Amino acid sequence: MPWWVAGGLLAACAVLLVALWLALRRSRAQARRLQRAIESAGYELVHGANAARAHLIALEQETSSPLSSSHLGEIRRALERLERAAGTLAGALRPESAEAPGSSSAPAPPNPA
Amino acid sequence: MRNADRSVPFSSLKVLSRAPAPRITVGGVGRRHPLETILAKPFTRKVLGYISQPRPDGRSLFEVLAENYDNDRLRGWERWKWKLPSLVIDLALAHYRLDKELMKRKLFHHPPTVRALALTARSIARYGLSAPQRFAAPLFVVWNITQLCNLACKHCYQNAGPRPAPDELTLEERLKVVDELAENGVPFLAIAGGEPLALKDLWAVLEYANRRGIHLTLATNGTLLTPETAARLKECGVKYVEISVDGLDPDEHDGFRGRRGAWARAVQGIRNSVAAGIRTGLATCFTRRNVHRAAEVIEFAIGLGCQTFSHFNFIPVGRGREIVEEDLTPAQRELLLATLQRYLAEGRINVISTAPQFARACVVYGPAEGVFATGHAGRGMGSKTMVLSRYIGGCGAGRCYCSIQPNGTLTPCVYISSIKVGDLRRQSLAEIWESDLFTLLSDRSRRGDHCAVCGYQAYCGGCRARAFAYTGDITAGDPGCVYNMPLWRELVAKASSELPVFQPLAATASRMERLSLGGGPD
Ligand code: SF4
Ligand code: SF4
Repeated sequence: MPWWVAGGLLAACAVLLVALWLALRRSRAQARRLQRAIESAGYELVHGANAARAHLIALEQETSSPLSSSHLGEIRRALERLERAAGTLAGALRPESAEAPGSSSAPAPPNPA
Repeated sequence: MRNADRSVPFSSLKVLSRAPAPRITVGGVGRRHPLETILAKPFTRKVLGYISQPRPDGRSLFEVLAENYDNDRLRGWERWKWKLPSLVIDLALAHYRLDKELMKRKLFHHPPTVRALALTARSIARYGLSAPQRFAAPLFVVWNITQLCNLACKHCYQNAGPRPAPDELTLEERLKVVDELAENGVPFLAIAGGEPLALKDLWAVLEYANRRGIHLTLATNGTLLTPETAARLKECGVKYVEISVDGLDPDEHDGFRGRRGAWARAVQGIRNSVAAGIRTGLATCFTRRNVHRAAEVIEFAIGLGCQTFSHFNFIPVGRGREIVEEDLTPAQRELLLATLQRYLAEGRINVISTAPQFARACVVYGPAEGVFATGHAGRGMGSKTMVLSRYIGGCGAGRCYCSIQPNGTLTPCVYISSIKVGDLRRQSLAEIWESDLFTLLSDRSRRGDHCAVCGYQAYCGGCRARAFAYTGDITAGDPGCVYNMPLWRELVAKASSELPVFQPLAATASRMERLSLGGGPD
């Protein structure tokens, strides 16, 4: 095999390896971001749901009292957290050119009002 | 009848009478810290046991090391001897980018912190790492030093009055109690009463405890807290003074406290304490009468210059039983906890609470990197504190905390004064601390109702005093928690079937009897 063919193949291999390495690095970073996003979304989802549950229980007992509106406020806030978590997850799952999950580019939760 | 006059032996206690409830909380997302894995290793336990073991002079290697770290007062050979260990610590601090001077001041050369860490190490060595952590001796003791009080508050858990109890400890015995605490490595002591400032022996006890390196705090009704008294407290090493104020209405406070002018004097007491440069807290017990003004009360505390707002969870014991119908419903308490958490997160004032659910509320209502309560008095930022809260958070009765009564008897908590676990006149603290009741209380899996299955069990555990006061079973669910609503409904239904749900639980002593609350507590 002429030297320039071998050299060309070697160079092509090197380029391929570098490309592979870069792709791997990117996907690792993506996986790390995804893991962080899932963790943070999990935290918000779990505790937000438990908060909503607490005030729903309270509301069931207090339906006719003036406290109802305060409990509803708490449930609304808890719900916002669930929506934020969903937004974070959605952000992380978008193509890698998008910003990091949890950043302001993550889709804003729908307006509860 | 005085609390201390009646005692319930452990063998006759009703326990585990209530079945676990179906789980309604979603399982928590557990944050883990690498240190947890390291501390759980048998080898680490051995090392911790070695460095925290008291030596013949009563101090552990860890305490000696901390004292001699970068100590300018050392001379000659002693100075050289501690050079290498100091260098190793310096390197570790530099590696973790920790401020050396700050660490010296707040940790190595701060005896109560060193003592607390030594006790924690000893506890992990003895019981292993457990969430929550069982301690080898109390981390924190509340000493109701006298039954004597110049007021007659309606909710007093201690039934305090104008005379001391006939069997109160003498000064000599009180100093022996201090020795006992110091020798067992107890780092934090809160003096309460009665009204501690009405006791003339108080000063000798404070001075002695301070000399023995115990971190001191004091709870008072504030009416005797003159500028001179505040200055003297500071001299005696008292680091934090907590003054009870029931709300913003002076007449209501005075009516509740049984003395005209009590509110004005308490508020002046707060001002005097702040002016003396002592860390000062305003404490309020919220009931149905005043809970709607919680935010205003906290703002008032901020306005007075208090560093801390302390919420006292209402527990129907002592004279508090007579106003049980003023207890918050679980729903009201939940809103209160959410309000307290928001003030804590905001950071204008430190907020603490004796409701064990407060540690849980900080997890439920705050973000992952927010502020977390680590117990009845601690707090911190971020997921590290959240992890810590799992080990020391929630109810500490018989696990990391206990109470001493005016006559030297030891009880799991100031609000469980009818269960006498031991007597410091006759027994050592170490002997009493090994009690079966404390073993039971330290094991949060042995609970009833939702507390048995709750995703927040490690952070909270439910208030044992409330469970005991309402059900007579110290292991029952805490009826004050919203997740224990079925239990609360059951109690309300028992109080009076014709009452609509969430109406006052019981208004009279006879209703209390029908509630069958009398089984356990005083
Ligand atoms: S009181 Fe019991 S049910 Fe409520 S949060 Fe605490 S452990 Fe859970
Ligand atoms: S029983 Fe536990 S939670 Fe209740 S006041 Fe005592 S230490 Fe606090």
